[in-house]
Amino acid sequence: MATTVTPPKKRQFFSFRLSLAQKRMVWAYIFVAIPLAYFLLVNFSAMFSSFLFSFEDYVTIRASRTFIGLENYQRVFEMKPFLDALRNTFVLAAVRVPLLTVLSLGVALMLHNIRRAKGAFRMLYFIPFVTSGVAIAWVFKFMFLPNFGLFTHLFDLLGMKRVFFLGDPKTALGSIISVTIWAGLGYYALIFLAGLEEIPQVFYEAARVDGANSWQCFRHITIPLLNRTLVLVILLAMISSLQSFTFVRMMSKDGFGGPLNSTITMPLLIYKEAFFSMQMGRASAIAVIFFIIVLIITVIQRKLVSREVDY
Amino acid sequence: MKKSRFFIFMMIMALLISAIGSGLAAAQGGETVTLEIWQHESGGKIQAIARVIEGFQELYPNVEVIQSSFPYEEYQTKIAAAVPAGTGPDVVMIYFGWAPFWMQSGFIAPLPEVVQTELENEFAPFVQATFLQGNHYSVPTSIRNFALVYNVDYLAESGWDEPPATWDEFVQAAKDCTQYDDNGNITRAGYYLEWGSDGWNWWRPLMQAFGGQAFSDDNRTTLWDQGGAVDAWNYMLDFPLVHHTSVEGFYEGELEAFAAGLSCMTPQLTFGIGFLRDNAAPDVNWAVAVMPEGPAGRFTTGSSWPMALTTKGTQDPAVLEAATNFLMYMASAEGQEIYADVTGELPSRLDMIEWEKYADDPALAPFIEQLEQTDGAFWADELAERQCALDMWDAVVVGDMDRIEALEMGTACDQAIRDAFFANWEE
Repeated sequence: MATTVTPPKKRQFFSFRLSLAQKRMVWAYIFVAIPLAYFLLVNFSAMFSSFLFSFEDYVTIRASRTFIGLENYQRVFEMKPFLDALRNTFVLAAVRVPLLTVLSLGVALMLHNIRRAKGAFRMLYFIPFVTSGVAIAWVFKFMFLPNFGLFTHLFDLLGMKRVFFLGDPKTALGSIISVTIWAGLGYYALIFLAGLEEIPQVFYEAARVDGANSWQCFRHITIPLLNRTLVLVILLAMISSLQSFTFVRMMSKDGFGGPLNSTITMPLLIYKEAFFSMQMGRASAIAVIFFIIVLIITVIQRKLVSREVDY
Repeated sequence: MKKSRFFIFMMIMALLISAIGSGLAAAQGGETVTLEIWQHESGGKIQAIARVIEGFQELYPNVEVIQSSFPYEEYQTKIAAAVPAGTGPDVVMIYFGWAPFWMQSGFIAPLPEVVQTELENEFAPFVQATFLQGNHYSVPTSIRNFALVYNVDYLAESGWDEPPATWDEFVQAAKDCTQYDDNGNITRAGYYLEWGSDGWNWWRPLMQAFGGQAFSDDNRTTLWDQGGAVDAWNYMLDFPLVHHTSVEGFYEGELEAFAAGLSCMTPQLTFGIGFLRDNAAPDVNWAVAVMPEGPAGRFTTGSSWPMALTTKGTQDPAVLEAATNFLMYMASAEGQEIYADVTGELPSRLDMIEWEKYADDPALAPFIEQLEQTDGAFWADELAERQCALDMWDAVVVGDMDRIEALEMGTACDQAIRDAFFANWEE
């Protein structure tokens, strides 16, 4: 007698039927959900906690906290270091972002056009970026020493008056900005280089046939087609400028933005308030204010510099 | 099947043996207690505490000690991060000047009675620096005070066979010893003053030498802009601005400049002796003298990185007992000797100061001579108060503010910190 064997039912992962495209979509969301959960748990909860702390009298090493409403915000706006930090952060960004953008674009154009030892040159420019910021800061700090530093010797050789680079409020911030530009140059140049290599040569060839010179090619082909890269570089440079911490912490005269708060930045002020003054509530209020400012700047910047170009 | 039975049997036996073992250990009072000790990294401190821990564990083998050390720059950050998480040390090394603020915040706890009695009976008067609201809050690892370190050869070349005995002589010696290049730049500083590191620390005994004082007797009022304190302020500013024996940013650190043979004299804490023994350039022939004298006498000030008990360390009776034993060991002659020998500093126990190895050491003798009158300032918030002092110095030296205006600014800044602190302080 013949027996009928029923094949075992395939286990269904989902109780309802999905098309292949829908299944792919679901899996995509699952994979995205994992880092998103991590982000929400680690980053967002920290941001939210910081927002709550800003309404509390919270001494970092004290276990108890009390709600004080907007008192921290009121105190922050009365703090001279807050206004100094705000000013310095914007000066730093306003000087660093355009200089870094122009210089790294220049370096990228040169690297793009050289024929020999291209890799070696790229590596040379990229090395500062992969070097520890702390190490760079210390080396430059010694080079800036007013009596025994390398720059002092150069000034002496040139018969120029010695400058107390990091100790004078007039030169301290500029000295630190110059180092941050030097350290970031290779990274941004590399981004520009990638953008330049994506521009089809055919546009240049056509323009030259029409009699365009190098400047015209740069002005009307390179810059418009590099727009997306440009936006990215400006955004990244702006964010890293607003987040300046390592170099000011390591290079400023007293480690906290001296002399006379001439180099203090917002992230350094937040750190100082939270972990040295032990005023976590006040530090959180500064962080919230700064977050709002950065958010506004980023939105405005995106609106101003984003422009789609197609040929 | 047989194999799995055998495996289960072995597991049960292992569990039984370990249970019986720990039961026996507990019955013998040998239950392991874990004690967490935090310190900051500086000089030989890590090695010194590690050796103290070794000595302690020979006496208390049932205490497992976890020693953690952090760079000075990160130290407070680590502590600040640990407190909200309910983790962190049971015993912590602190800067003595942080004690009032940390005590007020509830991070450190009064020392156990037995440790307090030991401090009262056996230690130098400096322990009063962390005696707050009727309780001692820390056990000194060593004691530091200021004495004058000088380069014998440089001073002799400049016509000084003996170190300066008064603050007037100190200025003259600094001027005589300073050397310049053809452009007038200092190549050897008679006295290199770095206000932010050592300068502002010995400004306080200088105020006293000129008949002033930094704070009122109840510590509530800042007196930087009164009487002799103003003279001391002007005296120090004159080094870079009038005498030109020093220039801002001459080198990275006063002590480091001296060790490299770039300066002639430097008032230094006892800690500097260990540093110079390990790091001074071979041709730097250095010696130590007592601090010079001012119109009102000779003064010095003290400093210390003592060990304190945290509130966390008091929560579990077993941990508290281990912490108490550790602090008692740190306070014992054995613990103090181990620490002093590794770091080259002085022990804080008065009976040990007379030991030959310290009293006959020519580098330590001048420090010992001034030990009786070594006290420590009361800092409401040492880091913030230091910042007030740094800013007023910079305002004159690298800014263009008038000296007295800057001094008044600094005084007001410090007073505001004290006012805020004492608003929540019960005597």
